[in-house]
Amino acid sequence: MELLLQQIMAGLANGAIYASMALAVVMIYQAIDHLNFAQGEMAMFSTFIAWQLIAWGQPYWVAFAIAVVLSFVAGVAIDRVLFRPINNAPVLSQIVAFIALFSILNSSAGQIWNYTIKSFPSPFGHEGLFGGTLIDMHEAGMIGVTLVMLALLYLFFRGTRLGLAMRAAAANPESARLVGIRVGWMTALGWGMAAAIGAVAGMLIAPVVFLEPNMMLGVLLYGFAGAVLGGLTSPGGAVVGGFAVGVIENLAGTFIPYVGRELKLTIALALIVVVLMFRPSGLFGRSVVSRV
Amino acid sequence: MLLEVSGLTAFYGQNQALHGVDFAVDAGEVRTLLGANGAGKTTVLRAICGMVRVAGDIRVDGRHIAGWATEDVVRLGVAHVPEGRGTFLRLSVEENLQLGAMTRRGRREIGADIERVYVSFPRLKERRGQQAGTLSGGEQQMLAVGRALMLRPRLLLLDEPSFGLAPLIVEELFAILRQINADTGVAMLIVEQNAALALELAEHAYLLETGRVVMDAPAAVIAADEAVRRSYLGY
Repeated sequence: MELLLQQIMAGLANGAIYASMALAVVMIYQAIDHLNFAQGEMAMFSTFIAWQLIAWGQPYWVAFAIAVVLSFVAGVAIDRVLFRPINNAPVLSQIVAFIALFSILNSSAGQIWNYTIKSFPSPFGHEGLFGGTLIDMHEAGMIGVTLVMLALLYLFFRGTRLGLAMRAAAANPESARLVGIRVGWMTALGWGMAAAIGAVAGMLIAPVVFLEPNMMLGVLLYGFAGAVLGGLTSPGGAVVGGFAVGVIENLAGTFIPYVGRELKLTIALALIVVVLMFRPSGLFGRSVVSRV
Repeated sequence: MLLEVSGLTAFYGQNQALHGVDFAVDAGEVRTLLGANGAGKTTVLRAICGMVRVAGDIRVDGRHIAGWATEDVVRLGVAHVPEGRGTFLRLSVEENLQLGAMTRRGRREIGADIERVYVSFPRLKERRGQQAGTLSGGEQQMLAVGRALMLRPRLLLLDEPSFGLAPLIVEELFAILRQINADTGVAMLIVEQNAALALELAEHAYLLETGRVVMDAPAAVIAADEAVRRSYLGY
């Protein structure tokens, strides 16, 4: 029982990160109708920037804040410079651009910081929470920071005019233009926010998986699985999906013989396939209700 | 003149949809563009809002706006109720109305304008929190008009407001449009298949055939011309 609870809590902690990545993926998917394969590499690069700032002697939270802001700006720039010019290009060209972005970020991180794994500090420490053994401080911190971030995003999208404009631009770009919304800038803002969310996720998971240029590969796959499970059209669903994937992955790895550590990633891929076969719009992805 | 269009041509890829269209709408006036399916009526409205590639001259308040981005044309006070109504189906009725005022400032005034829309369209008030996609066709059309009014436009472009609606609802909608024109002085350019209704509401009408204006006359004159009515308007 103790082990089961421990594994569920650890699953929720990892799931928080998958949920963040799933949310970042869905935000960009909503805006441009494609999956951003480079989302994980963007997060990895942001984490390296934070690591570098800490290595130069900045306090953790200062490095954290600078990395988030820089990531936001870089996300906006990537959209404006790289993706806006190929907005109307065929799907395949856009996918090639995502792959290019992926490998540019991956190899330049390797070039700048090399491929040896680095330890990344946790601002929360690794003692047991309240002295117990159920969950450690960093895992609790991962869940806590993610929940705060989600709450802020919810308030932004539900409670502000800019959030409403972004939702409208994603839902129906032509109508959004007809009420005067600058749809291109809303897309860029979505990129910036997704990059910032990814940066937070990267910095939270780095103390667990260690920092190196390929650290987000697996994490992004879990994020995709979470997004597909919850539904690519539903930000809330993607978050729930991310948490669910974290728990499923951890329980299967612990309790199903033969799966173990090695086959955990396979579970994410199997989950994607199964969901696409039986419920292509995901658990929470809605088809639009309409009467004409 | 509030809107002046001259020598307007438009293309969809290689296909020319308009061949030099001239017309105008003055401040506070209601005019209508009539014609059969495929005559280019919708294209004219889309051209004004920068939604198709055009050549020729479009002036709003003397400003040349051909080639402008849609968002910038809207900022001049041109509201467009598009074909298919352009409703944000998954957002609530009230959010749809708020979006109409996206280019404006002043929370209190916007709130007051939403209340004003609810006075014109009481059924929208009953459904203010509901997802717009669950409204009936007539209610969605009213929402689309309400959303356009939230801009406080000087020119309202309406693309087939009667499309797909029951006759009684159409009557009600046109009565409200007349009232809004009288109350706010917003100019309207209405594209309609239901020529009889449009000619009742409008002061002046243009008849469009395969991308050209073939008749340009006061609405009463066109309505009284039996030959035109039979051959072009089908009633």
